[in-house]
Amino acid sequence: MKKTILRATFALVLALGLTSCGTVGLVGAAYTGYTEPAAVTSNELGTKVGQADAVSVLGVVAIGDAGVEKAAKQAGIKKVSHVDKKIVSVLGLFTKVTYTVYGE
Amino acid sequence: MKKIFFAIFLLCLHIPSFAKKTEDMYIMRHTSKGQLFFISENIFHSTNRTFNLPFDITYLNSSDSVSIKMTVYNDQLTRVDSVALVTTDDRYVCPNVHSIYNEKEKKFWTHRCDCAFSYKATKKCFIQSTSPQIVIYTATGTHTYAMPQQQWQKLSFHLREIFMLIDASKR
Repeated sequence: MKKTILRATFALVLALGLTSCGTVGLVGAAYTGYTEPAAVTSNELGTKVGQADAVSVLGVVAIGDAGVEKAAKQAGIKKVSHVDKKIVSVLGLFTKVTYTVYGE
Repeated sequence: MKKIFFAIFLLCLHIPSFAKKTEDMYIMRHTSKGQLFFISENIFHSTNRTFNLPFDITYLNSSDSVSIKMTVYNDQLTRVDSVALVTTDDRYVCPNVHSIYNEKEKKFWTHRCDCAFSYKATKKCFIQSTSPQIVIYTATGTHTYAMPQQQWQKLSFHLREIFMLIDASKR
């Protein structure tokens, strides 16, 4: 029982320590949830919005296509005005990055 | 120990669905053409196949119209001819579906398309207590999608709040 608790504690500390591996910029050890600018162009703010995301689980599996190309393609955007990036991370165990592309 | 880690892994996969808030489900922006509301992707399930239908909704208050963009998965490369929003009382059809792109993904084809509906019709369909159906008409057949009732109850609550915001933005 003691060994199990010790191992679980070690795993938790390791996971918290790896939180920065899934996120760049602001990092919350317990929870991270914020949006930041990713790119801005001189094009006027468009009326089309596209999103693309990728997830990481336990720092072991990371999958998805969060590229600007994917997000722009989803909305049929040909001229990008700006891009926002949203990061959600819980205890570093689950991290989701979403890119939102605006344009025409 | 292995069971504990496996349980944590499965739990982590479901974290995104825990306690979704309305404010996380939409984006509102001011544009030169009016206020833009974007409702993030939701997924309807096929009633007779294994393919799902991810879709998102964009509303622009200057034209008071809604654009529903969806990804249709199929065994064959196909084109969507028309899309209908169906409830128990109403049926709204978009006969002019705009194709955005086609792609091959592993063993199936994806077709991303865009259809326009009036805001009034869209709101009427998406605030129902039971899930509306999205019916896709293609050259190879008709496909119907809806959401399981339990999931729909949670989603429709958030959608009603978003539509209230849209209505308030018109004043």
